[in-house]
Amino acid sequence: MNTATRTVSDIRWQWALPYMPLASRPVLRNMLLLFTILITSFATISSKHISRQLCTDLQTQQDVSNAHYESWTKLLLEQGALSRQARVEQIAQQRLHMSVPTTQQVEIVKL
Amino acid sequence: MGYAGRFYTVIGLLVLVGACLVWRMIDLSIIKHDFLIKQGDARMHRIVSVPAHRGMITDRNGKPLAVSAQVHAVWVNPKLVPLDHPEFDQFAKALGWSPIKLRHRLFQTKKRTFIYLNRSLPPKQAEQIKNLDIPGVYTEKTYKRFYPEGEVMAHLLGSTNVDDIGQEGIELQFDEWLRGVPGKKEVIKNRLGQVVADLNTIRQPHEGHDLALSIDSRIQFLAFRALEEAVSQYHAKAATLVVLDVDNGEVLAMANVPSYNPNSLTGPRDGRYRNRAVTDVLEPGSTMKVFSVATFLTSGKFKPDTIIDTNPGRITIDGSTISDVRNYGVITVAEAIQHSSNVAMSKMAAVVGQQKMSQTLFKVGFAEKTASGFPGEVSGTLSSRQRWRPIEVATLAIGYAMTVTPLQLAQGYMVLGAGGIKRPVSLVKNDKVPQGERVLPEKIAHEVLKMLSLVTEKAGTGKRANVDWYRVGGKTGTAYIAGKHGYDHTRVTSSFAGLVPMDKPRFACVVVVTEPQGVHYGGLIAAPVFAKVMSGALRLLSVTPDNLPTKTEGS
Repeated sequence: MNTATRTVSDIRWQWALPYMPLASRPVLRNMLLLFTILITSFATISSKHISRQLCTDLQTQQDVSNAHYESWTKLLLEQGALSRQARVEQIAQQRLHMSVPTTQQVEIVKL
Repeated sequence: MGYAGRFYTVIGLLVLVGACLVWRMIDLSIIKHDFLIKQGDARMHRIVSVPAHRGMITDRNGKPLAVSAQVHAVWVNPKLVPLDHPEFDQFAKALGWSPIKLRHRLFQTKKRTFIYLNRSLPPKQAEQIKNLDIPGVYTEKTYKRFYPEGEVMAHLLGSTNVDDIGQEGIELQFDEWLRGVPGKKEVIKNRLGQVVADLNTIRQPHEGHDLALSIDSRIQFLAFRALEEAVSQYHAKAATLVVLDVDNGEVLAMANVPSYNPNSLTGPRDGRYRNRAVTDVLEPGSTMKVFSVATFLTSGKFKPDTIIDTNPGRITIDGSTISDVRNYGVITVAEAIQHSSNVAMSKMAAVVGQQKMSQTLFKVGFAEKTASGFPGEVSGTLSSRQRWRPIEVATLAIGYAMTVTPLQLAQGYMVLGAGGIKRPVSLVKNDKVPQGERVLPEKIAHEVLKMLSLVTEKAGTGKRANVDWYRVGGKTGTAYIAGKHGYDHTRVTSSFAGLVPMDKPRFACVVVVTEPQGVHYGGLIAAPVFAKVMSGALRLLSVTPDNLPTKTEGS
């Protein structure tokens, strides 16, 4: 028997309720239901709380991710500025005394 | 009052209190329900924007060329800013303004409630301003475009406005692709301003896409520097260079001088902002002779070794005289290209006729915008009328009576280099080689290439374009600029258009120097620029040499 049909059949002895002892089955079940309601409502509250917390966490993480993105672009720009062709060439020539070999300086090895 | 009286009074009061509570409950949850919800939403409910970044532009190797970075906009409500705030001077300093100027500005605008003071302040200064905590001063995050390569690629990349929307160049052309559209979402905030619940996404943010150009920034730099040197050495007005990859039609470099710094657009609004490679036209002069010769050969009336009498070094048509630099006497068609003989060209043009020449030029892509799609590109001109006077036919054969852009010229040479196949020019890196279209017979293209390589040999006009280890083919051009009273013989454009290496052309390159002072022959000014840029490009892309010196020593 499933719950629905049981509830329907319960109605048949409802008239006998005042004559039944306190600890009989319907009262127990009602207590049980009351407790269940209490537990689920507390669960709702706590899950709502957890959800808010997670939402805040998500927000924080998004902010962090944004901040990382910002610093990444900043670093990218910095890298771009430091690796500018003009700068690289200048350093290679002046500080490291490098130069492109002339064709006379290159020996070609035939395989 | 008896006992019962007191009892009922207390009961009555209790009932009254109960009734009050019940009424209040009804009042709050039914009568004022909508009002309270509205008030609650107004305090907690917020619509926040979700940032989306504008895509990055990189070169073909992934080097960033245009990047959006975060800056801060500083705005004030002049009605609220106390001009005698103790930190006022520091505020002005962080903005980079003088306190007097700032006071003046705020005084001027004191009737308004919102003015921007700076829309691109670096984060550090914005932080300083935020810490000063002056009433009526606010900062917000925005984005600004930065171009690490600076003036080297300024024309090509173009610019964006303060709202990060493309205004010029690639930024405008690919704005839809690059642009990031910020999203919007509904959230609930608590009293500390933290988001506690995500309710609803009103609009998904669209991140901008990155874009890889076909440009190689190393070649671009070589080109820019070589142009700068040429311009300063010859006090030229401007110079332009285009390098195309013959194999797939990609633009490897496109440089212009004079240039500007794209990171601070404060210079004078003059010609320096134009991408001359596509927006300016020139009468190309001798560089066009290869296309004339291609037509002559296609007509079947001439072969590379057909003999032409150019005596006495000039020819008079319709009362105008076309002359050569000196009298070359009896020469072949190939030698006519090598010496750039105007007389020989005019004579052959008279035989073949204008219609066939125009046809070839149209097919190769002149007088029509290229596939680059660059904003502001012009098509150049070539008259499509039916009747031409003989002198006009002759001038067309030697590269006058029409105008071309440097990019079109490079495209024309690319067609020759690719054996007569025209591929669409692209500023964006191609994943695969685009479908080409045959516009010249392969045999003709090869014959013309062979003649071109003669030009850079010892007797040719373009020998200064030579690159060690590689065979270079190209054509110099010196064209007078037309002024109010016909051609002005003191103003010229010196150009060089060429291909390298000739065994299997890889690069098509065009150099145009406008109004150099002193020297007038194209070969003297444009050809060395070509050589400088090409030798670098060949080395950078490891193109196999096709002209190694033969060494006798064994190994």
